[in-house]
Amino acid sequence: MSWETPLTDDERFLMEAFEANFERLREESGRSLAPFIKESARQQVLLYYRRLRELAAQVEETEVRLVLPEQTSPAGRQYTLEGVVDIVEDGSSTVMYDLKTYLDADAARDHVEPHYRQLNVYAHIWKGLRGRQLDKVAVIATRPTRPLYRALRAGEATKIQAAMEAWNPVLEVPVDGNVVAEVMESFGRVVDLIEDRRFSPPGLEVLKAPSRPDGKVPFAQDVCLNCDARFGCASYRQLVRAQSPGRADQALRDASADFGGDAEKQDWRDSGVTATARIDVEDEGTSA
Amino acid sequence: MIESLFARVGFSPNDSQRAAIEHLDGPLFLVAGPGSGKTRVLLWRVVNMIVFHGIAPESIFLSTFTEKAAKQLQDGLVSLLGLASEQTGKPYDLSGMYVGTVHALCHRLLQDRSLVVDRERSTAPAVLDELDQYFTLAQGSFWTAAKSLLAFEGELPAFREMLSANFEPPASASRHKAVVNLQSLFNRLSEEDLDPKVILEKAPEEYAPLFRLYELYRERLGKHRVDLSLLQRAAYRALLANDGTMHRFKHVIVDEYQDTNAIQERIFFRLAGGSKNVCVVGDDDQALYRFRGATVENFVEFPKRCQGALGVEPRRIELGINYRSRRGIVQAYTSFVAQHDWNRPGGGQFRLHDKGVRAHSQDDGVSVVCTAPSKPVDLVDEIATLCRRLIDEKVVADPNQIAFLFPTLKSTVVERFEEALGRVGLRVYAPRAKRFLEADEPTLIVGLLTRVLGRPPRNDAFDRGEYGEFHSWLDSATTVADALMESDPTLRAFVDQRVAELSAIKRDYAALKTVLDTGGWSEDAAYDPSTHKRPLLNAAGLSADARRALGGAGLEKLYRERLAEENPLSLRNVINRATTADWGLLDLFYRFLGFQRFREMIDLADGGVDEAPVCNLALTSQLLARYVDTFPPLITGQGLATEMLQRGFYQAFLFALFRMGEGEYEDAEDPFPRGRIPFLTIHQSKGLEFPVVVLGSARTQRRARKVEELVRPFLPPGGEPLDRMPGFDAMRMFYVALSRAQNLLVLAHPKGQGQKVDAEFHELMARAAPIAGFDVRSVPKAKQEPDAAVRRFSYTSDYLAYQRCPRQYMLFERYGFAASRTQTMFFGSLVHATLEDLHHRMIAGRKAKKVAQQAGGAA
Repeated sequence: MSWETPLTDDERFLMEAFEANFERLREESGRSLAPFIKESARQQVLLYYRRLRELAAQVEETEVRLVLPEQTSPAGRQYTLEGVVDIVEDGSSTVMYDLKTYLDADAARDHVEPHYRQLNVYAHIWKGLRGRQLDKVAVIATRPTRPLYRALRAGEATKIQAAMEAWNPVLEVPVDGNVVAEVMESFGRVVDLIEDRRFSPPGLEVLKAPSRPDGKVPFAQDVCLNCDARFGCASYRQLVRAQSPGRADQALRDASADFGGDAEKQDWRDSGVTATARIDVEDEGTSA
Repeated sequence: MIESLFARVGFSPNDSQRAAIEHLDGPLFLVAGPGSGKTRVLLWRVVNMIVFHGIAPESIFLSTFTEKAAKQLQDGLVSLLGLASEQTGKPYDLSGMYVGTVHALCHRLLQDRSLVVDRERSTAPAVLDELDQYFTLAQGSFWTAAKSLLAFEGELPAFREMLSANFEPPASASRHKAVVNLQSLFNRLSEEDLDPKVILEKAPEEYAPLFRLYELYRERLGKHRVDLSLLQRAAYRALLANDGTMHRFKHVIVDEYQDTNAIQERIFFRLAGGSKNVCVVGDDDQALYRFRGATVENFVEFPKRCQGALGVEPRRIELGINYRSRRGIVQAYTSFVAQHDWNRPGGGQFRLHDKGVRAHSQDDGVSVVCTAPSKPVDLVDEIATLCRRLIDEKVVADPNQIAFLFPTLKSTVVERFEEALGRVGLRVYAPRAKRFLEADEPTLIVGLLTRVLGRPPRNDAFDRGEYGEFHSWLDSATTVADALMESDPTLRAFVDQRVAELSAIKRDYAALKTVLDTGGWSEDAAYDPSTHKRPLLNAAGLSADARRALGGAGLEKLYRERLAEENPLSLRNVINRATTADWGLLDLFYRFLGFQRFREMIDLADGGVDEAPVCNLALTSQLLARYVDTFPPLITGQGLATEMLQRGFYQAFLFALFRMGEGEYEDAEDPFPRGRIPFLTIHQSKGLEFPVVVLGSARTQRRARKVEELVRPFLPPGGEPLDRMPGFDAMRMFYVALSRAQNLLVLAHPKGQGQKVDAEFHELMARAAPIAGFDVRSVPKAKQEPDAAVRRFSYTSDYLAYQRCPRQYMLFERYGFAASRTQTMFFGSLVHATLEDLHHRMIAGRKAKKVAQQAGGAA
């Protein structure tokens, strides 16, 4: 698959919508995306369409807000639980999909537990709201799998074609409702923790372990390295020290002087070349 | 049916509440006194529409005064509609409903594809908020253009002095004052929908220059940029362009109608032109925003104007019963407001009276107390001691349940109260007392940044007034930063390292400049690797970083890309890229948080001991993000060498924020940080309530507003008389302050030389119980947590995010820190939003096909 192939009408629409959303989000958040990350978002969108066009065409309701009101936490706080899903109907069956943009389907296939928990709660809410059963519940993992990623990088049409055909981004999870009560209980506890302002970071062991059951990347690298709060975070600091026995203080100093790898630094520099400030500061020099 | 839903949540509306909830047909004029449950009525009225009258959420337009109010309404609706779903088995999706501030809704109208004809994706104009507008008017190029437009011979300070002479207080050469004056005049003109050309024809000669500048400003914005006032005008124009827009909504509901302006009134009447279902809710006694162009007459004269615009007389319903306050408090503010002369010449009043405001509470205990008439230095201690007792006796569950309200926080009495509370061991949270920047946390951060970037020079020629204060503040900021670095050598080492990096960048820049000069090349010339690359790389003493940037494949790639876009790199681009610091201001901010002093601040909030420092740090991060978004974000050798960075960051940005001080760029927190007593302006307290309210000052300066006088000639006759506005506005402001109290209202009665209170307070203070001898245990105890609207928690962005990392959740979700480079959220939202668009398109395509097939079948 080449990105230069002439786009269909739908694809052109998709690319325009992508740019418009990009601009809107940039305006709303006041932040932007590094060019290569923006590119990979664009790639995901296009891959989704090319691989799951038929499924997308059957979507009956998109971004459906599932709401479970009047919940009570263990400490007696009232709250509303909310989630968002897509619903597909093909005449005979109703399927609930949850899109996950960070998930690689190959890696996640053997570790559906977290999604099982989430989607069972969603299915429970759906049934309560609509009084209808769901025939199937699934996660759509839109992040390219490793073989697909490699093929896209290599850029050879036949390899990409093969990788696309081998790619199955849909992960079905069983709906049995067994887990709902337990998840709701856990949800309520988290509501209380948040309202009680309990914000201690996870312990050292968590930081060392893989960040997801389906992954190999440690939490510290996957989460902490992308988090601005790490410099002041007791657990992260502990980890940095532990990883450099004998030179722990120097390691901490290095960590706070680390402003990203070469690629990130280059993006940063490039962004300065293209950025145009909205306000000129050319001035009469004084400013009283 | 609605009865069973009322019962489900234990709501038993009183007669007028019920009438308002049930009145869905034709215009409604809802006069709602303080604490009368108007938000609840609005909520239920919408539930009634959607659930029991089959009104589609997307045909409801509901305008609120703040984003926060909009969010609370949505939270409430989601919860009630969820309950209704259980009964009806029907889903209710609010995502199509128009709820938000007028500004947000106007922006949405301009993007609404169902309103804009012949455009697949409508492009709404870019919106400048207040701060953007300020910077736009403050920038040098505007003033140069202004001076030449008016053919002013002389220096800019004299020019500004000439302009400011038209405002109060006159004769100032200050750019800041000139900008603020112009901003308020321009916004007022835009909100009255006045055409610059028409104004110029009518304008008195002496004011013509101001109106010509308005024309200049409008021209400079162009067609694709609007400020918040022009945004409303743009939306109104779009509505006028298409008669279909009158039928887009079946219900138009406007909250806080007393604080709407002229253009908004036109928008609302236009939107309701088809259905006639416009419901306005408000209270003229609580009108606060004339200084932002609000016209309380919109509310007071609503029946007449509605008749004129829609041809129907609205039904008037009064929500008078107050559920918030104890009886004595309600009596206090209702009799207070009647102390003023509201009579209209020729009969009637400038205020709606007979609103039936009365307390639901039967509690006749003492609820209004006052200090002994005494010197300010003494009465602050009397009140501080009372606060201490209220906390010790657990009349309030947390210090944040006692609010101090002031007409302005820039006054010595505010400092006196803070000191007095400190003497009894109580701390205050006052992000706007004096100035936000002067709080400990932002001061320390700016001090550290200044030690990295270098102190901007202090110009002796201007060293007075606010310029002097600003530089003194910068001095104190560097002093506290130095002291901190003294106690934390690792912090000093970190700062020194950054300083060394900037020095290297400056040296690199100078060396590369020399290469340019030697070669006789202009900075604007296009970069050509075959000519320039070698000499640049050979620049004397170039650092390894710069060499890498100039010699690497990255530049090569960028060069080719830009060539392909026919936008070749200039030599300036190449040099800037090679002499850029690897970090920005926000990167430094987050590294600072790693040092002990800041870690302690954050830990204080973990567990809810004291949230104030972390709230202040969050706001500081937002301000830095704002700078990065508005001004050149990267630190470059050129920026350092030409002092552009200092002009941008210190003079244009920080100095502007410093001068704005309170009021212009921040909404109040609610609930307030635990562990502290909030100090608020009365304006900030709008819509809030507190178990205990202390009115810190009962005195106002009743000055006429010059902008009103400037605009008056262009307005229709019949508004409030200019000379009586200041008195009316003062009364309304205090009415809001007094009516915030639930259980106890505390008044300060200063006496002595130069001390007085506004005359309307005399009787109230005389009748209030003295604090001396008052038994605080007689006051009902406040609940631990206020009955906030039920909060919504999302499975992914709350539950999963918290479980993933509570600390990350804390900073970025709970306290709203602005992330520096974290991109995960943006990435996810972008993909989701785009796929949502795709799905919508496919759903619409399928529907269209079906309709076509059916049509084909019928034929």
